[in-house]
Amino acid sequence: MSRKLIFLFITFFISSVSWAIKVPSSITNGRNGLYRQTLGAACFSFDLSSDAVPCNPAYLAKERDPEFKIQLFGGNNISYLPEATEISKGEATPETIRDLFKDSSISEMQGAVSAYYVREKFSISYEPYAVRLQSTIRNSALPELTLFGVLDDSISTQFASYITQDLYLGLTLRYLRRQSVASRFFATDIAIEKGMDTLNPEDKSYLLLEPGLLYSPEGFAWRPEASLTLVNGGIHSTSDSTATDPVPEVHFSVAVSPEVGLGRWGLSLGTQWSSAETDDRLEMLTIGSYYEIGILTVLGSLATRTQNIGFNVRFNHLNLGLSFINRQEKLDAFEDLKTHQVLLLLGVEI
Amino acid sequence: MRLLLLISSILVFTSCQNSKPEVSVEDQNQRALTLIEKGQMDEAIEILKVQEASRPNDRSKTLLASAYAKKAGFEIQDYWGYTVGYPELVEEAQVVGKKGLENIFGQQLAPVIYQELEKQGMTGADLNLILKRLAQVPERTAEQIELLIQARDSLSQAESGGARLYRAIIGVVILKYALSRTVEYIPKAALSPKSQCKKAWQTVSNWFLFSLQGLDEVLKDISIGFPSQATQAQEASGKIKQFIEELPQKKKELTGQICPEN
Repeated sequence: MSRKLIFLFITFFISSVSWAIKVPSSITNGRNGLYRQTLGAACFSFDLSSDAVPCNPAYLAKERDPEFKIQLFGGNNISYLPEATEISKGEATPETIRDLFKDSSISEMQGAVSAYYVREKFSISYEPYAVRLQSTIRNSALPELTLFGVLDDSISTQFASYITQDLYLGLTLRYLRRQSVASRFFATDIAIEKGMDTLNPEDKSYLLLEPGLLYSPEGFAWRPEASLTLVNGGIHSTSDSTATDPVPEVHFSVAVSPEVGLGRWGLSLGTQWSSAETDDRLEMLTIGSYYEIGILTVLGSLATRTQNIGFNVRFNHLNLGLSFINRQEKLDAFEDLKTHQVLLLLGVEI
Repeated sequence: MRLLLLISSILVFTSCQNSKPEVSVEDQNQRALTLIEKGQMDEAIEILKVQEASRPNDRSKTLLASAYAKKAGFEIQDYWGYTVGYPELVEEAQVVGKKGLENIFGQQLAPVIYQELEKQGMTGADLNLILKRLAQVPERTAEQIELLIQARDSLSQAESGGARLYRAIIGVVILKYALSRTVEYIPKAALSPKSQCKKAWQTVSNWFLFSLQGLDEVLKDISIGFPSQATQAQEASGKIKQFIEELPQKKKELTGQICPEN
């Protein structure tokens, strides 16, 4: 009952005060799709492109069949899609905020629609709609609400080629339009006149350059590989930085992917450098693995703050997947935010 | 072998540690918030007081107020009933009805007070509306009110509308307490022996003055949170101030009528 009253309270009103906050990288990094979410940073060292183009564009230089796919991707709390879209676009009303906080003190949701064409040395992908939202509510004496919402519309192309027989180079060019909100405020801040100004939505465009390098020596049964990728490097439409800007990251990883039994097993160990991430370097390590047999792929990754596992089935023209994501992000210097998500992938290959 | 070297190079890199940054204002506020959530109010208050003394900011003030409020058992969702009606409360605060006064002060005293209020232009509405709204505000104990006064005081220099609205909400709880005490002491004063009549009405007068001051504070806060209501709130505040200034004289006249020397 008391929770409902909070939400009723929130509905009515609106403020102009919020303060600088750090947005979790899961919101800003722009990695959508089942594979990318489940493998996390490990996706840069695997040539798995079931539901997206490869994380490291250099993999495109390898021999592959052309394919064209359309994907729908979403997680739990998908019913909040309208609220997430409204908030990110800056069209939220107090009712939107009330609806968002009515069921839980913590909500996280994501959803995306994408289409891509990929062939050897080239890919093009279009993601007209990708939304991610995270919200929390704290302190019953005076509820403090945190809201991160991002609505992306992007088009990207990848090129790749050989440098030497074992060394591959690729480049992703990505144009991204991002509408976003990153705000933390007290319930009374949105309860005053013009309180919805607190949300302070941003609408920015980015041109991102994401080069990748792959060392993949031939002739080894274990197929060892080393991958180096820069993501989210580029220029913004405005010089002012915002909390939801994509943060440049450098990923370095090593992997093996031998044939085991009837299928292929991949194992990678990677690390990343990012200005927005933690000071604890151990937290930057990610171990990822997959096992691919016939139409089934089982995959997962493990890091200090994330534990993910999922599977993907490709049957005829259909592509189905399910993943479980456990994530622990720093809410602030003293509190962690633990989220559990179930992600679902529905795809069609044409 | 090369693979092992690569792995070991990653592990060597990860073993490097950066030095911890200095605790920022934001981190201190977050630490206090975490303590409030854990129910460790005294520790939170201590941190926020230090913060306010050295690096004052509206968020620290608001968190400090919420720590005092939580210590007093005040949770904002319990007060939805009257918070939704703030704009109306501003309008109603200017006008006091005769019928409402009779309900509070009784038929004997009400005409005297009503006459005085009428001189201030405070007529034309039903006081019961305000009373009904205030009736939704739960009663607090004297100890809790002391904590809420500390909460209100910690927001007195806050600039943001949201913080001032929170102050207004706390202010209404204090106002309710003061009005309740005023009403509580009226029958006691009315039934007091002649020798204690003036003293008893002095107590009523003190609580009534405290109520008016509280209402004035609420109106000031509302005018910051709701600029479109600011003119009305300021007008009402002006009338209250005038009433407060005239109160000693009015009290003298009133006690002269109610407590005649012989």
